[in-house]
Amino acid sequence: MSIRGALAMLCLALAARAADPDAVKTAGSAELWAYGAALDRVGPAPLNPDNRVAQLPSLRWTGEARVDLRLTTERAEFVLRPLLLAQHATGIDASDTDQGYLSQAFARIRLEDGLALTAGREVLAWGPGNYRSPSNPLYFDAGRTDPLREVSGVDLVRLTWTHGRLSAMLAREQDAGHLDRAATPERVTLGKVDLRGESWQVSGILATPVWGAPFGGAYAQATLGQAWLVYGEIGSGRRQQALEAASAPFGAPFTVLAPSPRETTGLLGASYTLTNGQSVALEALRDNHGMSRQGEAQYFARAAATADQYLAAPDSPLAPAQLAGLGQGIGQAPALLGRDYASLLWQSNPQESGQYWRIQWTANVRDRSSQVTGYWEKSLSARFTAFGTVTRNLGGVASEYGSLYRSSVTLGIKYFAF
Amino acid sequence: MHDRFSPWILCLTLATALTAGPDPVQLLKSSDQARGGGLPGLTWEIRSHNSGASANDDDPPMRLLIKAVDNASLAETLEPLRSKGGRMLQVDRNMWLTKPGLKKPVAISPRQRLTGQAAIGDIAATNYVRDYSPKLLREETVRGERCWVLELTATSRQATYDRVTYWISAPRGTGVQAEFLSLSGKKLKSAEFDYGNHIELQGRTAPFISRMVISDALTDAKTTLEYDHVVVKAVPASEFDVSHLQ
Repeated sequence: MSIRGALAMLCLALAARAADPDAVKTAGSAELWAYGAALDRVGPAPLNPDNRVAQLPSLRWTGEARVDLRLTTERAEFVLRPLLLAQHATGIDASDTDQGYLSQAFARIRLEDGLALTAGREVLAWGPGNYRSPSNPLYFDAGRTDPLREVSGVDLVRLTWTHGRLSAMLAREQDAGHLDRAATPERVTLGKVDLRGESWQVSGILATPVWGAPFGGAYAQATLGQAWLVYGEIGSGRRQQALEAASAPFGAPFTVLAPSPRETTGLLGASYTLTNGQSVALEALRDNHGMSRQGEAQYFARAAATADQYLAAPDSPLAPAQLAGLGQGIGQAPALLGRDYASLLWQSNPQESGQYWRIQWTANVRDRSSQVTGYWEKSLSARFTAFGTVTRNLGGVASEYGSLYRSSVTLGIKYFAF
Repeated sequence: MHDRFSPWILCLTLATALTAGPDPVQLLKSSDQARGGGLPGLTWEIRSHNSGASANDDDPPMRLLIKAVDNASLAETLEPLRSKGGRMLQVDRNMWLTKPGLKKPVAISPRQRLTGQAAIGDIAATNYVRDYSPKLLREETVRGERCWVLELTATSRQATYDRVTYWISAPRGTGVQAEFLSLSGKKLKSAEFDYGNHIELQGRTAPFISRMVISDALTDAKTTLEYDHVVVKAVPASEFDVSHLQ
């Protein structure tokens, strides 16, 4: 969303407030985050020899300001969520990054009782899956590469209609905004229909071509008794590219097929809430966009061969091309390298404000590598909380989770200004 | 002979009617209204405070804004600062939770507590007459007030508890206290209610709940909910659309 668009929204909101100040409510919050993340890289790494490809910083300091401003009237809502980010990395990729943008900025107007129009930048995410969202062509894995980063919205116009047990949405995506993914070349139009029962919901999604092919998806969830939730998501479409090891022994190590062929991705899950409010969720994901076990083995074998060639003669004229080839292997790999995944999430009651923790174990079932991540946040005072994450990757260097780093630790503090 | 017995039959009928007590369904309907049931829609604020040995000192009192209609409710956290902006949506038995920073609303089960001992079913508009089959048990005095004691058995899957024993004030028609039971009859929680608020309804002033204290049956954990800024007004259906929750 442009600054002009945000200003137009602000003018609209102020005009609404001026017209009837009593009917307008304002609300807002602001959080300041400061945290440092340390990384323990693997070495030798076939995909990242001497850290010359991924250039992972050994230490990164981040400062963030997250602001949420909200103005509501009887019929309209205006939301602005600017985000300011400053990062300083040390190590081979010593660099400073400063950026500020609108993570979300939208106006929502209620046209009739169940009819609402939203315009601006908004996160268009849905579905019950925790690990990934196969039913969503725009937010399959947004935010998962860095769980601490705010997920940004897409620029869109959408109309929603709710009546009894039925609801429907028609959305037109104008731009990917600051979403952490490559923008689709097309402007995507999405339709979504939800049917809700007393303790279940099913939804169907259709989208005009995304990466050259229409997307179809669906999800369902059902509440069983007081504590169980079972759910599933499925989606079929193309992605930006598919990657595989090149067949020729020399030259570029990988070949890219862009866009990828149409494939189907599905997720099944169940969660159980304990009497103390803690919950456990188990999910299984099949992503046919990923590589087969043999394909993944060839991928790492080809990367290892290229890394060996580079390390044998790092000053050779071929070195830049070798590093670029490995960079392609990391940057253009599928969102999930393999096809079969399991995820187990155990978390404390998220409604408790004094302390929150979660532990997640994720496994690539095919190459038997896995990742264990723990997050913990504790209140220090009314305005301060301390938080930390620990990630441990298990698996060899020729496996998805073991290929780049062994472990990482993040420690930080949050200040709640208002 | 017929003439001789008719006054006796009349007396017997009257006595039966008097000893049978009031219609439990009507009692329940009247008491529901004072807790938000059967109204076109409501908004109110709740302050919650947890106490007891298990209460966490780090958990400060919460202030929540509630919007509710018959089958749906939305609870938004206003305080404390570190939880501000969190929202819990319930539509029938479907529930979602979102907090600032979450990618999307997370589907949760009805067991998920809103705060302390309170589930969202405890603070939402109460519709016992829809969710339970009432049976009049007895008459009893509670805190010096004559009450009808009802046994409620869940008939709807929307019911938060399998069984409830409910004391309804005979003169006021409002719920005074309740015991929440499992299917086997095990006591899970109990609650006491005060009605210091008032709402305007069809040209008359009616009492409305102002305080609810929920106590755990096994521990000394208690959650006190204080109701304020109660407004009776229709809430648009789009407020309960999960796609507007973020």
